[in-house]
Amino acid sequence: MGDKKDNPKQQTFEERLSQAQLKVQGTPEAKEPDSASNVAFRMGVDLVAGTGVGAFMGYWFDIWFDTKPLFLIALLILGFVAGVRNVVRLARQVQDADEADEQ
Amino acid sequence: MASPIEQFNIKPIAHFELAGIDVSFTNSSLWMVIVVALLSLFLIGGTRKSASVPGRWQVMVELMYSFIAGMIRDNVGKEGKQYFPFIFTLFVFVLGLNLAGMVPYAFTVTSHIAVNFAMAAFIFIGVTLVGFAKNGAGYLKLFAPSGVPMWLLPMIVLIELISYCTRPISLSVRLFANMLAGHIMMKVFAGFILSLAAAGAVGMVGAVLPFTVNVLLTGLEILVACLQAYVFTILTCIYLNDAMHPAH
Repeated sequence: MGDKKDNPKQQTFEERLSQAQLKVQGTPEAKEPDSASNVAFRMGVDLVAGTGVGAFMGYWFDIWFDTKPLFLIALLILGFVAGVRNVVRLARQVQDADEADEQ
Repeated sequence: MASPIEQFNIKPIAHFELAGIDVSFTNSSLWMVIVVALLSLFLIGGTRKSASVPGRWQVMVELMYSFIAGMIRDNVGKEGKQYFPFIFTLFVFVLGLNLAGMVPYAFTVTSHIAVNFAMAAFIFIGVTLVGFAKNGAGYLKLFAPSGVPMWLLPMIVLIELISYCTRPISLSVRLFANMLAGHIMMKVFAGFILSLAAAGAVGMVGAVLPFTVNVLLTGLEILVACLQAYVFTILTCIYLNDAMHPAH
């Protein structure tokens, strides 16, 4: 590897290009634009979507297996848990990004 | 005064029926065709000369290209390059539809959840297929985080599965809600102008206020149109990245 780096002609154009870009931009790491309202909106949608998907799946499982209302109740609760998990995951992402910015 | 949601009515232009299903060519389809035609014109026209010293038109097209290429490189990595045509098409299509909605009398196609959800469902299914094609059964590890005790695993897998299924909803609702809310707001303030102006001389002076708000809103909506197209695209990239490297 050592002599490969010394002689730019032996590297592919790709490699040289990405090295040059790293020099200019630093290590690129794009994230979602996270303005406060964007994050809040996303949390709301995630929470409702989890519950909604759970309810939807439960409703159809009940119809297929003829077990009304067992799956509806169970998956509604699990869907809510999934929604909360999504929100917690998003909140952690935002927090990590904030802490990375401060350092 | 026109109702603020009247602008979202779907009106058939040419009536078609296919096996009992209404597949009419509507104002929504018309605007999709217009946007695709304009985009093709813009992109083909810009790359027509492909001069090494680009003109203004070519610079615009090249900027768009490098913007999306950079987004894919940063979020998906080098292997993401093969999906560039899809991501680029998605971005310019959504951006075009959002911006076309800002033209007076135009129809905002992306303000309908049916359109957005169709795109999101396609992305969701496509990304899932890519995940299984690249990782085989190993893709299922995405649903089972490491370090979970055995007895808790079935429930966690189910929760993760539901959480995975919320992706297309979260993706489509965000675009839909932003476009819908923005266009309703503009229409409501435009309505204020009319009803105030009809209330005599004092009202006419007062109508300046909602007019100012509407001017500002127009600027904001153009920003939202671009931002939401960006969010839609970058989320697709993030999902694609999960499918290519499901390590967590």
